[in-house]
Amino acid sequence: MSERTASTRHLAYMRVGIGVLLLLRTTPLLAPFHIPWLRSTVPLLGWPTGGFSLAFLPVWSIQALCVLRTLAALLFTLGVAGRVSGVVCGVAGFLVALQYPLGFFFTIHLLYQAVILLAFTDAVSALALAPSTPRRSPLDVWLLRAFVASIYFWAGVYKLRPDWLDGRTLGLFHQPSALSGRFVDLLFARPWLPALVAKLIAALELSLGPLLLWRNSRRFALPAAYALHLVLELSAHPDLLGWGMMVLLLCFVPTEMSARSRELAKP
Amino acid sequence: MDEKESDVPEPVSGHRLSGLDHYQVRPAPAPWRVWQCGLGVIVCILLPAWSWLDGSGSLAWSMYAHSSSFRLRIVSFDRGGKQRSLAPSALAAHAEQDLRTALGGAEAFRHARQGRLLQRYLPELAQLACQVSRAERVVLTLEDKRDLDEPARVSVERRQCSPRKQADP
Repeated sequence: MSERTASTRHLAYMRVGIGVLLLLRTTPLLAPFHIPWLRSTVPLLGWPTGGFSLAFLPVWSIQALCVLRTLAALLFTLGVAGRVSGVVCGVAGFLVALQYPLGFFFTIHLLYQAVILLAFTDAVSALALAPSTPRRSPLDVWLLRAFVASIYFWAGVYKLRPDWLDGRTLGLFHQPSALSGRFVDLLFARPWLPALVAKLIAALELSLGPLLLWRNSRRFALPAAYALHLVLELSAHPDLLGWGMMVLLLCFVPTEMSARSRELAKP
Repeated sequence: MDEKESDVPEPVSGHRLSGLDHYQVRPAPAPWRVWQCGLGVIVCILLPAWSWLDGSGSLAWSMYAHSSSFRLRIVSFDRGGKQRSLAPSALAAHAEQDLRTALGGAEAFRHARQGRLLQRYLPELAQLACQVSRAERVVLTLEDKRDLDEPARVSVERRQCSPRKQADP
């Protein structure tokens, strides 16, 4: 398998992963599990209920956009007209989200953006029922890498505030619906620990982007990033955001053989 | 495997779709790469920076790190001038999901980041308060703390309820 094919395959895995997460987050597929933050997905995420609304679009058009977003997400995941379905899914999704300005949440922001970005790569040219024509752009993987690195960067920068660095903000999240569990209780058992952990999180997020982008440090930065999201999943239950990030981190999984490996592989 | 051949897409079934075998795969044209660069700049820099500059950081991946809180107080006045307090939770019962979540329990300071946006939508909220209270006029007072160290910013919205609005359910 050539390097490009392997890289396209990784992008295609990401397309399928992000598409599945989007479908799980915007439709009632997980409703039987009674997950609190998925209550609003019946019949579809953003479906108008008839109450007082801040929406600027009429009800029928919001309903149509919800259906369009779901169909486009399904086609995108299956790899049918991936470029068009990805963009339509993302744009329709954002239009629905704009109707509920006070209900914005980062998971859906991440998924819609990821869908649009992946539609502009060769992710839609492999593992697809009807593959799109590959464009063979050298920027494909780097577009996704820059996206992931920017998320860590902005998240880290936002934490450079006195009330985060001294651990007080972390304390605000110490409640059953946010940060909970034995591990978290241990964190708050010592008064100096929250401040230390808050500083470590900020430092980790600020450094993860560059460390992931730099090839030499990627081998330890990638496991560190996965570990961060797994710990957050276990302690903070952050919607599907962590899973989305773990799918997007696939763009850093090495696909090409290094020069030294090639030398060693030569007969 | 030849790289050029491997770039011809294959459907998951393993059979190439008709017509796809014959097209020429060429390196991405410059406009396509320009599109990708533009998209990258918008998503990675412009959108987060814009929301950072407006003070909210709402698109700047600030999840699970904010310390904002807000409180909303609503007072209604009937024709005789009698004053009554109206709980934001009472408004929430008549609203869509996003407003319901934002207004629920907002009579006391709550750790949530919607205060800044609620400030923008105070006129609409006043309209809802008129509908729910059937009062002659309402006064909404929003106190929004951007972080733990900043003092609360107070916004007040006064609204004379129209007779038609009062009649609405």
